[in-house]
Amino acid sequence: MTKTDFYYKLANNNEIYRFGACDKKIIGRSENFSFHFVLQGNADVYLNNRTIKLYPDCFLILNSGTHFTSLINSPTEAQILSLSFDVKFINDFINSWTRKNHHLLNGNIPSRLEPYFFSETMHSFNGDIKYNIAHLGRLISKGSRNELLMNEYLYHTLINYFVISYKEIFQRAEKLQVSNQATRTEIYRRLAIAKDYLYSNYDKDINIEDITSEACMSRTHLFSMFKQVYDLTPHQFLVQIRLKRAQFLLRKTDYSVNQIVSLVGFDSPNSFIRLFRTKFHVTPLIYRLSA
Amino acid sequence: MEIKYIILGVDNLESAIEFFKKLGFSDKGTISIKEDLNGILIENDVAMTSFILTEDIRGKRPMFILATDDCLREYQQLLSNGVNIKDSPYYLPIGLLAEFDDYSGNEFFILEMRAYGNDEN
Repeated sequence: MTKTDFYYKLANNNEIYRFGACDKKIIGRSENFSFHFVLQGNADVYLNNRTIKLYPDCFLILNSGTHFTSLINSPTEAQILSLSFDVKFINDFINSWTRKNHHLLNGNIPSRLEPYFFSETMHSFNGDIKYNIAHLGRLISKGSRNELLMNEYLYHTLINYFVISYKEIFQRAEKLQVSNQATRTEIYRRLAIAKDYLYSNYDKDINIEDITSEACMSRTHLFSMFKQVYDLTPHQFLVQIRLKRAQFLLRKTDYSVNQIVSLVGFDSPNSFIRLFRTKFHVTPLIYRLSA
Repeated sequence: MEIKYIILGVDNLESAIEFFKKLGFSDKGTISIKEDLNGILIENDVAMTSFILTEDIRGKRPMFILATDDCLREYQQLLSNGVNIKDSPYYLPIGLLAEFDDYSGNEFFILEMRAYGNDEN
């Protein structure tokens, strides 16, 4: 146990586990629905024959029963926060909160715990969920055992997740020009795998065959469906990930621009600077000075 | 907790805004506190407290919005202290709010303002 390690099981069987490590391998099975956040550093998670690389800008959901291997191999300490939700707690939540707040989900209320809602994909870690997890992090850093407050943060994390999943899953899946609901769900699931692949391999030289093979879709199908759902081609999506990661490195590290160019997978500093300026309306160096 | 906004019921929004402009405040646009409580935010560069002018509580007592850095922690503390919560924490474009009263007819909100546009990882 390091000084940042923390484990607490609440009376309702929800669990909070935070640990820090530079070198650690965990082989396990998710007993409950669990949320995994990388607060610092990065971690690789192997599940369902694919590798997901988690950074602090994304979080991952694991379903009950999923086998996974988590690998941390980092020169600086990575910090992981995992929240595990008891199935009964989630079902009670679905029955109470989602029915009272159906307007936030535009009427798309799950009648039970559906994998559709708990798609094992990466989600953007920003907005309310990031604020609430930061508050929870501060609480456990103080060593507090205030269970009522922990419960409040966990309950709101679920609220935030449901709103995110509605936006990221329902609203996006509905953009697919496919009439059959089951087909739409399956296509969305495959596109989410393609998206996770881009997030997890953005720093490598990705070719389209790698993505199509990962998502089990033809090249034409993938291009057309990906654009419908994410409003960008896979390549444009990849460039956005690289630019966001470069922005993070400019702000948080002392790496030179040339080092960052290579760390995030761009071919040349010139194209990186041009793309960065187009997206953020400022050059990388001026951004760093003002950050 | 400091008072961040005072919600004032006014008879006529336009003339109320004109009055506050004479006091050095400026119109910062519409703000929604609840589905049935919307108003105009009036701020002054030097004043610590701003006003929300609304016709939705015309003729009623002013309401107070207290700023906090963690709405859920504050809400739990209020619950533990036996404060009468009128609305458990809910989300608005400006942040997270909860509502309570003081048993004397005065209504308060606690607000954790959140800078959603500045999400940076």
